[in-house]
Amino acid sequence: MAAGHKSVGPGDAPLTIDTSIADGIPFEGVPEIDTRDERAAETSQEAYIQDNRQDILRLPVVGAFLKWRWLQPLIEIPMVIIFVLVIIIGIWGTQEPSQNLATMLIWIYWWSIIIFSFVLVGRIWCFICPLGAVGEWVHRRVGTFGRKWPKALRNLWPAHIFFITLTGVDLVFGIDTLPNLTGYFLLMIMVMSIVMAVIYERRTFCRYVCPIGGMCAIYSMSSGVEVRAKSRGRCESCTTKECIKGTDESYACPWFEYPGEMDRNNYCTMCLECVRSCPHDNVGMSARPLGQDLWRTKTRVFDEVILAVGMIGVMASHTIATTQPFDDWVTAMEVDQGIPAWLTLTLVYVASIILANFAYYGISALGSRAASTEDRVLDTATVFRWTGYAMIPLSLALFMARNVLFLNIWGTALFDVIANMSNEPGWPLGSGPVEPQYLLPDSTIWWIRMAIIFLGFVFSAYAGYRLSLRLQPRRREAQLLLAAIILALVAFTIVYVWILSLPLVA
Amino acid sequence: MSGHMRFQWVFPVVVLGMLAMAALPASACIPGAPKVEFEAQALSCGTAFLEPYNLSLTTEDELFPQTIAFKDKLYVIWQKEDFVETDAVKYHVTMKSFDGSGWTDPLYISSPDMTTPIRSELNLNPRLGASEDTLFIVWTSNEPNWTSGMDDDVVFRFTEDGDSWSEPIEVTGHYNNGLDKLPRVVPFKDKVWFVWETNDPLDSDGADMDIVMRSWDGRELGHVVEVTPPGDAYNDHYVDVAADDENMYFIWMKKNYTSGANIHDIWARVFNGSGFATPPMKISSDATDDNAHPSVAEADGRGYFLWESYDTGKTGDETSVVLRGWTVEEGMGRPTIVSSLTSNGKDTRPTGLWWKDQLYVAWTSTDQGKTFGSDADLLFRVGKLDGDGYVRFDDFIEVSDSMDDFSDRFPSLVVYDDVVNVVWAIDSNYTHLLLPENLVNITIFRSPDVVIQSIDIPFEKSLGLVYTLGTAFPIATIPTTGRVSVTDLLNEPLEGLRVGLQVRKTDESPETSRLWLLEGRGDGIYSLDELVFDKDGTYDIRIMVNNVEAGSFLVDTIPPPPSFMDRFPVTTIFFVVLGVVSGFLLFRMMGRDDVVDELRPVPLGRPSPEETL
Repeated sequence: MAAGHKSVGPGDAPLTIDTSIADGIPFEGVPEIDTRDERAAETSQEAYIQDNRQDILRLPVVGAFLKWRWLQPLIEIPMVIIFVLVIIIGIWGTQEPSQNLATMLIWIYWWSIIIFSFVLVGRIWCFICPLGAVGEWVHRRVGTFGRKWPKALRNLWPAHIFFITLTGVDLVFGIDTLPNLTGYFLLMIMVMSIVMAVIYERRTFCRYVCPIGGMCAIYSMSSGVEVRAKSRGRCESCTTKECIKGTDESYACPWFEYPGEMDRNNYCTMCLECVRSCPHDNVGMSARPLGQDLWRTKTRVFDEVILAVGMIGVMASHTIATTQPFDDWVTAMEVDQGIPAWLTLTLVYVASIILANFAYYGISALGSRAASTEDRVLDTATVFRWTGYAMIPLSLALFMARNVLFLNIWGTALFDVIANMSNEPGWPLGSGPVEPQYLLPDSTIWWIRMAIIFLGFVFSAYAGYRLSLRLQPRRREAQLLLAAIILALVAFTIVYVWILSLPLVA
Repeated sequence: MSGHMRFQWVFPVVVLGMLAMAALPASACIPGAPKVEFEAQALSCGTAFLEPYNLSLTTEDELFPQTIAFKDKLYVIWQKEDFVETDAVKYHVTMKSFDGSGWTDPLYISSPDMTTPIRSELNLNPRLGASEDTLFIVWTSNEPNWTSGMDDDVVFRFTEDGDSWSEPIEVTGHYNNGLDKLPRVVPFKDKVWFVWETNDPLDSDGADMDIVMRSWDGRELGHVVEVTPPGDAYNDHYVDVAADDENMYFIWMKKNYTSGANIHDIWARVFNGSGFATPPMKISSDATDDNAHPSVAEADGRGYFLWESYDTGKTGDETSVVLRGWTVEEGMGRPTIVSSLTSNGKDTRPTGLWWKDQLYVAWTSTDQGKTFGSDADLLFRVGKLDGDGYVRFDDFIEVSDSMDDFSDRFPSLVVYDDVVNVVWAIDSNYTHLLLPENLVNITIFRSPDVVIQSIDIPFEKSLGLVYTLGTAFPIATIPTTGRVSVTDLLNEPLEGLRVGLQVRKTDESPETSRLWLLEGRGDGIYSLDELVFDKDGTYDIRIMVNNVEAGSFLVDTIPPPPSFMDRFPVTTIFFVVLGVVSGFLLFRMMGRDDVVDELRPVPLGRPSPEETL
């Protein structure tokens, strides 16, 4: 039987009927009823789609290269060396941020470029991340107590708190302008990664604690590449489950994922351990339409949605903090009301994250009221939990639009920073003047930013369209729900574009 | 009428006539002078120090004097060296006052017992400020008696009667662990404000030096407010501040790492009591050379910013003293070079004072065209606003003894008893008999002392003219390609000389440069009705006098980027329309049978366990 047409097989789960669906949903655009087993339907659909894709791992040379056991360590080793160098230079090098490798490499280049990598190849950064690498090496080579991470914390909340604290501290105290603090911060994260690798199993730190883990998770949903089981049925019939347990030649999935259930990129770094371990060659890597996870996955959790929507607030607060009118206002608050600048910035930062979520929750309430029917009542929380994912492309685009400016200003200045490392007082602590490059005129950058936001907007609108139909198959109600989502997109976009329009701090 | 009676009339008329003639502007005798009158200072109307009066007269260094008038007394403070050969050098803050008849003994402000100089730590850079009823002295100190740790902190003392002084109060607070230094104090709107530079992360952002301020209402200190913009990572130094009834004016220098290791820009900002009236304004050129030692003087609603600059476009000069004025209505005025156009030395550390509608500017100069020898001497000029809002200066006057061959530095101006006085430090080794065993180093030998002298403006020296760079100093943005008026570009008395502008687009070869001759109006102003830039770009403009370059500046005719209002309405409409159009298209898609979602509708209800992580 061709995998693409695999239906219910001998090893598959028994048929059950979802009565809520079996009652019938009169909608011209969607098959009226699917009385088959939910798992079987998905299996065949997934397998069908998979069959129409090219498994990159089967390409000659390329496939072998990607599956090569030493590929990951060969990239990780220089990354760790660079990372240690960055820590040393950050702490002991020049404290002029534009001349220090730590601040320039981490906050200008890495922070700007990593955002673009999500769209292309998902969590590829986590594949080569030196922090995860060091933890993993310690875990695998030195030893670990192998404790399990507490069940109550098996979500993104610890990572959210870490991320929001980090970005908040950066906003208030400007870590990105402080090389030594940057160095100490990176050192702290590395120590945390190692300590957690000693205590807990596999990449517990990366999955649950890493400050950018949550951001990587939600943004990797927009990726155009995925690693998936080719046939879920085959996974279900597999009794040995080497992908979970590991083999002599491969490790168990460091991220606690089970390819047989995996329907999104959030926690897959494409390390291909599952490919190496699967005795059935049932895991493949393929290109796919961008952002398919956004509307296809069945996993919808509040911690991810709140971050997805909250990132719009994070971007808004970080961007407005660089504008002159806001700077004047913060000063006026300090002078008139006696509110210190750090407190104002903190309040604005936290408020912007909360406001973005409240605003979208309000929109969700509108959408749920408009899209509910007698036989399909959509409560606000469900609408928020599902359609909030539609905000991810827009928030990613806002992030990109912000970072384009930094990349334009500094251009290839990193090469100057590296070249200057041989200056006094000697390599690697040497430094010298580094000039902003301004590769493109301001007006060009403005339109590039608008184009990125435009694409993010359209992408989000399309995701909203797909999600509206999943939540409410009735056409008219689905349209009303989509209208609410687009209303939110327009509002968020206009607010952010307004912030981008403000004059920057002198 | 008797002869005696005639004499009674004739004599006053003749005297008044002579005075009137003497008070006329030099336009009466110097062709091309502007129609601005300068008032001579009548020394006889008040207490005057006609000769330099030495206030310190010691063999130790006495530097950075500051002076102020408060409740009928004149106060002078300075930083006094406490030298012991076997130990590191320490410094006191020392003060003397003058009540109209004599000077008091020195008071040691930084000592617990102010009459005795206790050898302690470093007490540096004292400054004075006075409200109507209180006199403040603020200085940098690492004195452990009243500051925390051994880092530099800012402390102050105050007095209401000039006799009893408060204990030193630390402005920077005991939690502070960064460097805090070079403080200033100024009363403004019912409070006294302390301004200083710090790298304390609790008071400012980043590890760089920033400018901060803090108020004192007579009982307690307010919050620390950052004057320099948050997020800025470049060092900000050497702040000066002045205040009138409406505004407080800040000026400071900021490191410009992109232009070179030792390049600074000059920045200014205005505070109106409830908020900053301006953002930080870079008032020096886009520096390719250094700018330093800024100071500011208030002038009843107008702030005058002064600094020294290597970057004026002049050739054959070291540093020049540059002036710019600011008002709420007119914003920042054009830069004016106060020091001599033909200076061949350094003109440095300017200080200004506004009194009776005239601006007094004093500075240290090694310009051998105006002073004698290679030592530093004190020069000053008096300026007055003309009808166009620009300051026209009279001739250069040297305060110090040009022939003394000893450096005169750090001038501070004050009006006392209706007379303008200048206090400065003079390397007065000639005033002491030094024993050979004391000549351990040049510092002792130089032994600067603090002296005071009144400024006299002889009538016959009135009126020279000032070299003013035009609207385009040195880089100005002209919104569009077109015509630029260069009237008032030059105000130097250059009658008979051939004056022109040599204009060249910077990305074109020197052969393409064109000379535009300027026309003298006969009143000291050279003008050109219009200068046409026919292409967008950056133009290098050199001022040529008899084919010798007298200065240069750049004019950028590239249109500025669109402003907020240019962009926001268009993009707002665009995204609203985008929302409507995308919504419409997606609505239409929902009605088409061939475009359906391949997945089932979502089962409703609470998320099942497998739907959670």
